[in-house]
Amino acid sequence: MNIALFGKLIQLLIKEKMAYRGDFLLSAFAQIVSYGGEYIVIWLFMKRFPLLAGWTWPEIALLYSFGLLTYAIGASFSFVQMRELEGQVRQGTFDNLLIKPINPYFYLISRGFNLAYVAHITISGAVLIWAIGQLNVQWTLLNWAYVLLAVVSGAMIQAGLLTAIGAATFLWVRAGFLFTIFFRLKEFISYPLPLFGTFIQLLLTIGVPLAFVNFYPAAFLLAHDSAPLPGWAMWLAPLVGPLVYGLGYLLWTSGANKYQGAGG
Amino acid sequence: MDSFELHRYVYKLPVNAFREQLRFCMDLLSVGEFAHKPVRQLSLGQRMRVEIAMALLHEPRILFLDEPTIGLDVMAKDQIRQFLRAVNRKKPTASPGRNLPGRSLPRASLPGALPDERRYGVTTYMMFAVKSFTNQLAYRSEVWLRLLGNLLAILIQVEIWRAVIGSSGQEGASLDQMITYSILNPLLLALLSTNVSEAVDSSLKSGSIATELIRPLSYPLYLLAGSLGLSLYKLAFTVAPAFALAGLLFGVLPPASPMNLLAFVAALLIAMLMSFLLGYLVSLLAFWLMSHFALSWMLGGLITIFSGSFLPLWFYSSGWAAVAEALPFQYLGYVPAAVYLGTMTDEAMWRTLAIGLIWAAALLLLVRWLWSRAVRRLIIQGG
Repeated sequence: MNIALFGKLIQLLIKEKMAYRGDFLLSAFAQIVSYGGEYIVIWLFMKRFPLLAGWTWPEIALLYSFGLLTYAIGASFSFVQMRELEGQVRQGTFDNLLIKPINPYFYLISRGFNLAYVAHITISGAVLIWAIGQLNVQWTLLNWAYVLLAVVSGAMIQAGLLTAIGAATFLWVRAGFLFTIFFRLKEFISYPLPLFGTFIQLLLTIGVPLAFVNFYPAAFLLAHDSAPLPGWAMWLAPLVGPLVYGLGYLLWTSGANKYQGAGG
Repeated sequence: MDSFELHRYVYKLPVNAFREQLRFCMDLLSVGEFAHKPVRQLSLGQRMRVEIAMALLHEPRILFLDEPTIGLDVMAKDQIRQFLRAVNRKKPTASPGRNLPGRSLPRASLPGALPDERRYGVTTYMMFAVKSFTNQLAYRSEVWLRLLGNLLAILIQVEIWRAVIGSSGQEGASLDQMITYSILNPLLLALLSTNVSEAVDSSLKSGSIATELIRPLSYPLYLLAGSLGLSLYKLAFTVAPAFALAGLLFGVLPPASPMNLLAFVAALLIAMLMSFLLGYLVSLLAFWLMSHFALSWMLGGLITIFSGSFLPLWFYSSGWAAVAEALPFQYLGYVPAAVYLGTMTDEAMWRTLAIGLIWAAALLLLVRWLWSRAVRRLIIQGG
């Protein structure tokens, strides 16, 4: 079955990584240093300016970690796979995937499943746990369930958007520039949404719903103003993920079905 | 065609001899019909013929060909063989490699004597800078994208400063100053991001480093020229327009004084040199670690923390500020912007710039030493 196949693939990938253990660990360490740098700069900033749009340092740390954690989970299933799609379509190696007797999307994402995001997950998870400890939140069962759902949903939003960009590859072949836009927009959600103008707020809520990844869930948990949407918007957060991911998947499969090769 | 010209500079060929040899090769290989097409639009056979012509331009005494006709059709094979025969007739002393079907010669290996001592003029390297500049012109459609990306990065920082400083500006810097700081810094980062370590890494992995080292010119200077061309391209097509646009959108202060402008240009040059040297340092260390990714990530992290690119050093708590001031990374962000705004006293400013030059010189010595070690190591590994 598919799950068994996925397990087998993961097993092989771990084996592959462990063959160059030193290199893998060094890269993981370097990524932790790199993201640690981002955290340190924000921390230095918050030391000097204790409130950013009404948010304190542990709150910003929670917001940032939510974004990074969901990105790491979502991207391990999508980013590198979708980025390399362009080369595969151009060189025709994508055809190899289509003749396998399993769902090509499933095969693509599991074969390319990226273990390198372990570093992202380690640092964002650690800071997230620290931030939760610092914050004065009533940790009811409902809140825990909500956090869990929000993480899953956030990861699905990120993966769904990256998948949709991958689908654009079938249409235009050259779609790498969309990743650049995605990462630029993702920078906005490191900070509370009310900092930015209405246009950016609406863009990140409706157009590219990245605000549902971390801002709306965090605003709910921390009882902050969740403008531009009313308070009940937080219940949308767990729904937006499956919706975006489903749309991304549909776009991808319909793109793959129309795929005729890059020509030549 | 440009590549041929470039080759003439690299091997210091006299113009006439170059023209004659080029005509000879182009006629026999019928390169003429596609000489002006960009390389990536050529077919395999066309590319192979161009490469052979290129290899013969400086009339080498010996030429090794490793399966030069592999993957080509019968006609192209025949043409290449005829051409090699003609070359042999023209210069009987030359001994071109064999290209019998099914028989391959060992790959040309790196000779023990590396780039010879001939001194190359600035023009040769200028040609590489120009080439790297014009290569970028092929990505003209991405100009808008980079412009937009720069503006978004600026927008985030501007909004943050608007939120925390307000109009009062009690925090030691006025809002206008912080907005200017936020416009300068993302653009500095965009300007300074080099592709040196990626370039060295990919030529190490593909083995093309061997041919790059074989050329009679200094590899580090060749890299520097390439990165300079890239920076000039970015300056002209993305950084300068983004600066103008951001100035219109958010408002930008002029340099504090003409002297500050002068010092800013000096700081910019130091920053470009230092950014190149740091990227090059990482790529040299990759000769030992076999991958530059980990080091590039770490360097990126250090730059994020200590460059003061987002948060000016004057907002750092005293311990962190002291560390940042003792490190060279501040020259990649904080120093040029602070010089532009004139937040330092004149004396402190010139002293900082002088220390920056010392840092650059120290880095230069370090990379020179590492480079000589790295080349030796490469030979020992043997391609």
